[in-house]
Amino acid sequence: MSVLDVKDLTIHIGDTKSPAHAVDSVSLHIERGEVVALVGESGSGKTLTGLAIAGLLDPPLRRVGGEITLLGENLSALPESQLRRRRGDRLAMVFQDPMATLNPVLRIETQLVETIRAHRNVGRNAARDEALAMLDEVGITLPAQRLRAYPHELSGGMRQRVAIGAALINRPALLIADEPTTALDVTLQAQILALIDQYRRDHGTAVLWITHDLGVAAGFADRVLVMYAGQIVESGPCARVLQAPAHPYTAALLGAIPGSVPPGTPLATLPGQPPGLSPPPEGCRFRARCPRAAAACIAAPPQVATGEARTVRCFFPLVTPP
Amino acid sequence: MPRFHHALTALTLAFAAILPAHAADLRIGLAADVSSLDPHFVNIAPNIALSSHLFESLTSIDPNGKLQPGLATSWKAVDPTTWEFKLRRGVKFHDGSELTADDVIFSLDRPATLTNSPGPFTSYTKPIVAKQVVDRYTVRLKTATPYGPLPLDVNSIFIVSKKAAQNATPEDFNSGKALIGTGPFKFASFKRGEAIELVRNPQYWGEKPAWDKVTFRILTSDAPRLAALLAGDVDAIENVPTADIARLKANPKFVLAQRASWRTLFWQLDQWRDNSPYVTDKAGKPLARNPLKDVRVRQAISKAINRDALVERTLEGLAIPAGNIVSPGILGNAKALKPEAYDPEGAKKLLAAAGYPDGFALTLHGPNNRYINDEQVVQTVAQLLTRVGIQARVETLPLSAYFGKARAGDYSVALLGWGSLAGDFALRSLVGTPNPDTGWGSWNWGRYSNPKVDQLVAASLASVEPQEREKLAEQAATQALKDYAVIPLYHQYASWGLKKGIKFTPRVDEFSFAWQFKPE
Amino acid sequence: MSGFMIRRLIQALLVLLTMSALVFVAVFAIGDPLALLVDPQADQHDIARVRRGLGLDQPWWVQYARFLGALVHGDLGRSFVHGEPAIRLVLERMPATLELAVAALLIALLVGVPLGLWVGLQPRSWSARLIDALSLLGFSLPTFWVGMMFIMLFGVWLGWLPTGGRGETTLWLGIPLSIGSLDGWRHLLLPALTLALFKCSLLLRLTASATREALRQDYVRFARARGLHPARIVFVHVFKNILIPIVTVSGLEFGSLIAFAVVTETVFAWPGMGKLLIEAIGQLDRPVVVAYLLVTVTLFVTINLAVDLLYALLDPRVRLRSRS
Repeated sequence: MSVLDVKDLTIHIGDTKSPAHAVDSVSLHIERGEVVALVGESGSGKTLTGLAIAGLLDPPLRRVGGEITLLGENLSALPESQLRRRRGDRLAMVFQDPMATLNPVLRIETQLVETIRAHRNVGRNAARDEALAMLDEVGITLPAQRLRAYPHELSGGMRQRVAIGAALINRPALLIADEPTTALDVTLQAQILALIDQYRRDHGTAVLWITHDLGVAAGFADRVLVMYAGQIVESGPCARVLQAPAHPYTAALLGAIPGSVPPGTPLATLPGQPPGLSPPPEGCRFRARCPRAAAACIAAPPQVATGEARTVRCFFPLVTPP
Repeated sequence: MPRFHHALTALTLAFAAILPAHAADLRIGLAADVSSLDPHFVNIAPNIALSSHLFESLTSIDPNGKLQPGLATSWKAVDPTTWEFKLRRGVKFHDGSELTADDVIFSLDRPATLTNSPGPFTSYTKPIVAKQVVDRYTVRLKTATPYGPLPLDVNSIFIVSKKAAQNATPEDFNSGKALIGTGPFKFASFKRGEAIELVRNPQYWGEKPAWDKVTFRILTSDAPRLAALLAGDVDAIENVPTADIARLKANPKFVLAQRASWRTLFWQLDQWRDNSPYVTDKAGKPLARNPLKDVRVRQAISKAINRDALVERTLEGLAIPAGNIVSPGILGNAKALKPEAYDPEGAKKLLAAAGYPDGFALTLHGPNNRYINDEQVVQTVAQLLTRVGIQARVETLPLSAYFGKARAGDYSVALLGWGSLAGDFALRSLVGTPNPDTGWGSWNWGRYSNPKVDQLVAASLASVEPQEREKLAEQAATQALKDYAVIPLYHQYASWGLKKGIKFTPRVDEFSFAWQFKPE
Repeated sequence: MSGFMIRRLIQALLVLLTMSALVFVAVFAIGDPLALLVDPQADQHDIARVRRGLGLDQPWWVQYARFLGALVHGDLGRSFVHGEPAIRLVLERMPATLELAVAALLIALLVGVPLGLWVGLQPRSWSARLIDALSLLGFSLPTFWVGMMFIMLFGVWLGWLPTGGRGETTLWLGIPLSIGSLDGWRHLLLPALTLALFKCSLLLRLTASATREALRQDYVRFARARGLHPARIVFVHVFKNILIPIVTVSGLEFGSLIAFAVVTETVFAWPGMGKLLIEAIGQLDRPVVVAYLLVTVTLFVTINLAVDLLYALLDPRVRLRSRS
């Protein structure tokens, strides 16, 4: 049984007459102990997907279709009061900006302990001990001192570690991480990645890693899903996809990574912008910017399995299916 | 069961003692704050009104402004410079001691000792150059020159108990320690700015007041004062707000009591400068000479004012037109002097004869928070003057700024309201030739000067014979007003609101005394 | 910490000094108190004597110098009109004004903050829209009119409450207060409500906007992501953050409550400092005006200091001196 199973998730933004189709029939699954990277540029719908899974969509965002199953339980059918009990307990989410993610007027200890006591019947002292242990586990030095501190007394990197600690303190089965390292420098980034990696190996946590940076996915994620304009355009084992991308968009992304071309050569960039989504364009949504676009692309290409546990949404993929 | 009976009786008696006996209480809403309970501290009306309940003077004033016996049963001038007062016998102070001549002398001496008063009573004690105790109940007061108004002057000096007030400070009075007088009420409590409570003096020599307890509540703001009456929080109020008079009259649960008061309003005109600061030609340039110095111009101004309309409309009927400086019934009011008839044509003719066929321009000055509808009065008069060719502008100020400048002579035509119980006194201050040494003309802003008027006023003041004094005072007034020394406008009304079931006698001096109120 | 306090103290003294000079000159410039108070019959000699006796014959800077000299001994002069020491008159009336201001602030807080929280949490509900509209009304209605309406409604027509005055007071630590007796409460209620109305609307709108702002913050989203109970999110996470602007504004507004209680005190004949001030200004009773202002400025300075200290307590990011 997968830890997370999402089928045909569809999200609209705005009024019912002409909403923006922000996420269109997205399906994915994550197994125990697996890291799945959801990659895409800003506006691709990756963050919304993560929020939808956690049940944190607020109006004007609406989930209009699809099913989300966590550990066999249909989350999409649950009322908010039940969903709340799962959040922070069976699934957890961390966000991008460590500076704002912790409440500035509450101590670290308070914010960790409250997460424990919101879900489990644990005494204050026992909860404090757990919090102390968690700080240690996420690599915070002098944990006893830091416990009594306020967020503004910690650096950005430490705050993100604390946030991750608060998210994982109840040992959730699934961790959704929405660009948690984007705001940090490269060294810290590496450290946080290493921390998460070790954690999931130790505890078997499933991780959905949302990022715009393909480079981050490399060497860390087991599988990668590429999103464009609200749709999954390619998926597959990370090493294979990066070695031999099937979708033209993935190839363009790879070409745009600094270091992927010899120094001095200009980075390949894609002309144009992602399309507007209210309503979305007819046919393949990448058509306007695709160098390989043809007449057939006026029809919407379906997502097609191409073997080796890969899928691609394109009539003319770069790797020919067997 | 006799024991039970006894217990029951005892219980009933105990209850009867606890329950208050049916008390007749009066609550009055005052329009101005009482600043001090020391009767000699400062000469302002609210303080005098309150002190009148606890203390008395040698003479008293009846509701119509006439002098009556007070603590003195009789007085006469034994010679032109000596007045003899015979004291009432058996009058007790609140502490039980008897009133004697010593208390009177002490009280007459005391005002001069209060050096930190901004408005001392010394102007009333100054004429007395010597005091003599003839016997326990007789005093003689000597004046430097023959002085007719002395019995009226001593009315302003309250008689305190020498024993209690000796070395007493204003704080001792406010706390009640030194508040020992002979008056119909005794002091109960003083909550500054809020309320003063008095209780009946059972040993009072005169007519027992109808009330066991009187509470004065300070309600200086108009609308809340009226609201307190309407809600029944007070039984009576003074100074009913003008806008609400008609409504109160129509309300069957309340009674409106009114009468013409002593306050007379008139214009002071600059008659001493050749160039008056606020008088110009219509283009704004100074004139060759000051038109206000010409009696024809002053008369024209008087004729241009429609006093009936002013009273009916601007004052909503709360006044009567005036031809005198003091109100009807007051000594010095000449019945022959009638309010000037409204005659705009005659005014124009007079202006032309004086050399101003096209008129001129001037500014009228007045207060805006002192007299009833004062600002509107000034504006109405300005309109009336403009109709006869005198282009009039209006400038009104709060009293605190107005009086200082007016007294300094800053204005050309200025409004003043004056309340007096003696015409010769009023004339001395208002139209007497200014003399800083003698104090004459201290309110003569226009510096009108007529030796004949001065002579008549002096003679009146020196006359110790009441009938003669009255005649001289009237003559002086007639002479001054023929000259248009000032231009009288109207005598203001005073109004009180009461709940039904209380009878009330309004006073000409606008005071609200508890004994004027009687249950019906 | 002590360095901070000393600096504030010096600041306060400078403000007091400047205020006293300004007021002195201002009241001096309006007019002559003697013109208002002296007996009409008095002659020039009498007036001159009175002027000398009160020290009003000296030029204003001499009078001011004398005033400062007396001030050092704690003597603010005697009221012209009352004859009693000016500072005693002001301090006598201070408890009444403070009690009114505190009552009004408490009402404003207890009504305004919860309602504001509600409006901020459920902005689209019809009740929130109604409350929002009413708060605009509360802003715009003039205090005098509101007071008179209350008096007419509850005092005259219904007769439930007295139309003015303070009623009975009981002594608490030697200070007369109205809250000790039922009669006192009946007299305090309407003036406190009148004075509270504007502040209540202000605090309501402030709380609503601060709540809306807080709800948009990342830490709220993270708190939801951790599955915390909504009540905890509102009453611990959001509340502790919005408390900072609420406390700051309340503190500042408390000062203005004391200053602007004048209108309410006039309408309800409440014997406070404000009414004393208005009457003193009208009578040009300068010692009282100066005493009132010095007392008020001292109060303001104290309140500001208290607010700063409270702020530091509530917001850990602000400390009065850096921690080592």
